[in-house]
Amino acid sequence: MKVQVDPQRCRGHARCVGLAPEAFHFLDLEDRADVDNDAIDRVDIALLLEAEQECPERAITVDRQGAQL
Amino acid sequence: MTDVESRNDDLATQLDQHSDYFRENVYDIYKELRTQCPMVHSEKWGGFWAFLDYEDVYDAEQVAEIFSSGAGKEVPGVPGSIPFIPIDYDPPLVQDYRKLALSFFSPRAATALEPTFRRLATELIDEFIEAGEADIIGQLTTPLPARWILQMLGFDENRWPQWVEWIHGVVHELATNPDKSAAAAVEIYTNITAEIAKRRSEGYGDDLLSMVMQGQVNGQPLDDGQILGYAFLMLLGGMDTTSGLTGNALVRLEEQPELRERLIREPELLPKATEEFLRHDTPTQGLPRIVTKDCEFKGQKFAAGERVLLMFAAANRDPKVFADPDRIDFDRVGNRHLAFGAGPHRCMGSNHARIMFQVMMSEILTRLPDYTISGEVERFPDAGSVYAVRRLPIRFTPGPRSSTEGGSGVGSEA
Repeated sequence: MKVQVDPQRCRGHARCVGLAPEAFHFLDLEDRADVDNDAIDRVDIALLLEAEQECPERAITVDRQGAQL
Repeated sequence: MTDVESRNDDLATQLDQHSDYFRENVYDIYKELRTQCPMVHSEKWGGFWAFLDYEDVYDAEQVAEIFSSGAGKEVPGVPGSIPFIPIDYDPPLVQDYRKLALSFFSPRAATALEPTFRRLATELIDEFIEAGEADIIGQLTTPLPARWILQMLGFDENRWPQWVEWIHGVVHELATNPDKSAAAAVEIYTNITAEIAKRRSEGYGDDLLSMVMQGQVNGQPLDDGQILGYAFLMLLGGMDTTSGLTGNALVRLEEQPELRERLIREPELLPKATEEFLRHDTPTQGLPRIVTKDCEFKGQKFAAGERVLLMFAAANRDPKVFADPDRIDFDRVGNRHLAFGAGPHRCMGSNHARIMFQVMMSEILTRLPDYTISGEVERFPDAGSVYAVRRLPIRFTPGPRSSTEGGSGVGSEA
C-alpha cells in the first residue's frame, strides 16, 4: 500500500492530520501536509481512506494494491 | 414564462446578500436559485455574479488569473480602503505574505493552545453558571476568540469589548450603515497604528504584530500600510466567524435535541460534528473575486471588472456533492466542505477555529447540558458576509463555579 499527498494540490487544510496523525504530519512553514509511508502499515486503512475522501483539495491518493481490506 | 420562472428570475436579478430577506431565507434562496442557474447574476449593488455550485466555487478558487482577489472586488465597493493582507493579494504574493504568520497558525500551534482555550472557557462560564441564565454569545463565544486574537497580536485583551464593537461595525454594517462602518474602521486604524508605534519605541515582543513588522517579502520589509492591513485582517478573521459557527450550532442543538443527546453520549464525535456544522451552518457565506479579463468559464461569458461572489455556504449544500445536504449528519462520509474556502486563500485560522469551537461546545455540553433558548435568536441583520447570531439568551440548571481559581485570560500563563 502507498499513500501520496500531492504537494501542488495540498493547501494545508490539515484534515488528514486530524484524522490520522500517525500517518500524516504537517510542514508548518510550507503550509502543507505530508505522509510518512513507513508508518502507514500501522494505521487503520479506514482512516487513510477517510483522509482521502475528506481532503477538500483531493490531494491524497491511497493506492490499495496489496492491502488487506 | 411560468409564474415560477418569473419569480425565480426576480430572485436572481434582485439577489441582495445584505438584505433582511436574504438573512431570513438564505438556504431556501440558494435551493431555488440553484435549480434555475447555479451561476446567478444580480442587478443589485451595481451588478455581481454569485456562484452556488460546489464545483464552480472550488474551481474558481484555483484560477486567480481569472478570479482575482485584487482591488475592486467588494460588493458593495469600499471606497478608499487599504488592502487586507494577505487575503487581498493573488498568488504568488498571497503565499509569500502568509509565510510571515504561518508559525502562529499551524495545527501544532492550535493544539498547543487547547488548554489555554479551555481555561478561558472555564473562567467565562464561571461568571454566569450560578445564575442559570446567560447570553451565551456575549458572555462566551464572543470574548473567547476575541481575547485570543488580541493576545496573539500582543494587544491588551481586556479591551476586547471595544475591539469587538469596531469589528462588528466594519463587518456587519458595511452595506446598511456605511458611515458607522467607516467610523469603526478609523478606530481600528488608529489603535493598530498606536500598537505599531509602541513597538517601534519600546521594542519588539514575540507577538504576531512584532513578527509581521520584522518580516520581509522578496527582501523588502512591509510598509506601514501593509502592516496595518495585516493586523486588521487578523482581527477581522478572528473576532467574528468562530462565534458565528458556535452560535449557529447551539441553535441547531436546540432545534434537534437528538443531535445534542448524541454529542453528550458520544463526545468523541465532536471532531466529525465540527466538520458537519461547518458545512451545514457555514458562517462565512461567501467571499468576492474580480474578473481580470474578458473570458469564458464553464460556458459562461465574463467581462473584465465583473465581480463574483464565491458562495461557500451554498456550495456546502450542493446535492451533487453532499447527499441529503440539508440534513445534519455526524456520520457523513466524504465531507469536503468549503467553509474555510479552498486553494491559496484557505482560511489561515481554520485550525484554531476548530479547536476553539470544540472547547466551547464541550464545555457547554458538560456544564450546561440542559440549556434552552429562552428568548429571541437575534442575528446580525447583515448576513451577507458572516451569518451569525448576535444575541442568544439561554436558561439552564444553575451549577457550581469551577474549583480552579481563575487567572485572567489567555495571557495568564506563567
